[in-house]
Amino acid sequence: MVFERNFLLAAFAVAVLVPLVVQGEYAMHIGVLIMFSVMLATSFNLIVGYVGELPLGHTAFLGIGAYVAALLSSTFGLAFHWTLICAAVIAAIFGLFIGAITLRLRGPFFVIVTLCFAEVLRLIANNWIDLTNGPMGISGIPKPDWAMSGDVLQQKVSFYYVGIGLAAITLYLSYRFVYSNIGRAAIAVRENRFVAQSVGIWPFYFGLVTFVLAAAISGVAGGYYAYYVSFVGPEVFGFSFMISMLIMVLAGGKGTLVGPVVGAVLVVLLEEFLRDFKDLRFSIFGLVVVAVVLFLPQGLMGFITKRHEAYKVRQARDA
Amino acid sequence: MLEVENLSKRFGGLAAVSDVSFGVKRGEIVSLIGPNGAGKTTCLNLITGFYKPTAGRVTYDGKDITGWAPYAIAQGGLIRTFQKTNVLKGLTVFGNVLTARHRHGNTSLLRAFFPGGAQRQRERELRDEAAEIVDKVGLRARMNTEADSLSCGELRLLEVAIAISAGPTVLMLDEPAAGLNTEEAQQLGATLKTLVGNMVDALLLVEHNMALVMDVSHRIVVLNFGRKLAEGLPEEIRSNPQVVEAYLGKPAA
Repeated sequence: MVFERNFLLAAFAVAVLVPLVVQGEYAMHIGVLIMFSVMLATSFNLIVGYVGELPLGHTAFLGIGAYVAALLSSTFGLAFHWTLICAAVIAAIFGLFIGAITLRLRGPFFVIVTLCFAEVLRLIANNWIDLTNGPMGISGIPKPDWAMSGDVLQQKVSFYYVGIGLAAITLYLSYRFVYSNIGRAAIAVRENRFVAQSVGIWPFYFGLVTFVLAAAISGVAGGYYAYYVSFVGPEVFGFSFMISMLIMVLAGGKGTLVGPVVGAVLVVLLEEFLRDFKDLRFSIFGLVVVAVVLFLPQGLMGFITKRHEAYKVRQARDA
Repeated sequence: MLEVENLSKRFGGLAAVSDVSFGVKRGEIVSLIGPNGAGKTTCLNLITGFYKPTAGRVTYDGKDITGWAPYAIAQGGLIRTFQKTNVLKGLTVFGNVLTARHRHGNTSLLRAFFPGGAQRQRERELRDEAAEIVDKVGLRARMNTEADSLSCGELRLLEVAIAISAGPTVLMLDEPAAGLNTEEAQQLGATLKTLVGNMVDALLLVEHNMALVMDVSHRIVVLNFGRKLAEGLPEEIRSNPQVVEAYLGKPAA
């Protein structure tokens, strides 16, 4: 608990200071991608790590967030913060709906049905041309006011700092959540449904609460992404985002808050670093993932999970 | 407090429990005994909602709770443990007990995100209460040990601690002495006796360890082949020829 908090605060400080040391458009581009990935992985991890189910269709919420932000900003000209709030709310509503159906299922059934929802949404995005412009996607999403001024580098720096802000909010909420009485209930359900029920915990309800929170965070991440690349197409519902989320969470350590952060940083950097290897990069990347799963099945930060709650006798403080 | 009337459960053609009635009064320790397969655990599952009864009624504090969801029954204060040791394996001993205090803490999402002073205070109290319970069952030295590295006896204690932590009115223990040696079982018996009246209002015990049952019970209900065979004081049960026959068989003529 204390370790995670300190680690996250330190990571926050480092993230804020990085632009002073490392400069350049490319570095800032990577920084933005990392912040986006941190949000996405954190949200995915809430379900994988704390509810204990694998939502293979988690991109549904990412895509909904991205489309909501794109449509509201380009059609109605809504400001950045309002579209992001709408993205969160609408993604949460979809989360409520999809979660209410899928959380009655467990294991492989849950995996498949969530995947179906993402696939259905992808098909809708592909075919509802009037709304989504089909496979052409929505392009020309207006830049937010704060990203209008200055040269390209300054704009990227602005995006980076807004990303830090959003990621920080995400992690603050997640931290409060998993270390609260509600988060503990969710963990109890993950560990043992029978014990959870026998002490008065309603498994479905706490699964759903976590699911909706994760969906809202994903929606915000999607909206942020849409603004950054200023284009949204049906591929936001696709499987490639899903795979990166999965690798980040598994490599970093599911069921911990610092895991997805570490995982997101590593995966984004590794993907960029391996660009030198051209076609070989996916093979190398695959090998790294296999190695992590084989040798660190709990992920890099997995050692924390066991110490989720510890009791220290408080020292009597001096008056 | 707890009344079971004509409870029955059929699994296809098998009548696991048929027409069982008994009650648990405030301040009582009632034991449910019987040979293997007599339907004791099924009975417990029926009372706590993990199984839905085929027929019959369970009333608790005057309320009909037949067929309620397990979590709802537990929220009413009917807390059970499991025959096969069930704890939250990935968490520490303290984490287990703290988690089990769930229904005494905040359940509002907004207050989880933005805890105020009162909320933080309540959370500190929860932690202290949980630590106190760990202490009380004698696991203080194991406070921050992961549950999956405990010994069998310690796991049983942890299970009891989890159940107590949930704040039961009626506590139901399913074979708490399984796997304990004589000395540990005696200790457990002493602990159970002090529980009633202090932390719980009544205790329903499913147990095979006769020494323990005879020592702690105020009343004993005997099941055999899903039916109630006898009910009475420990001395009566001990000398009841039908009970002796169910356990040991008929003497050769």
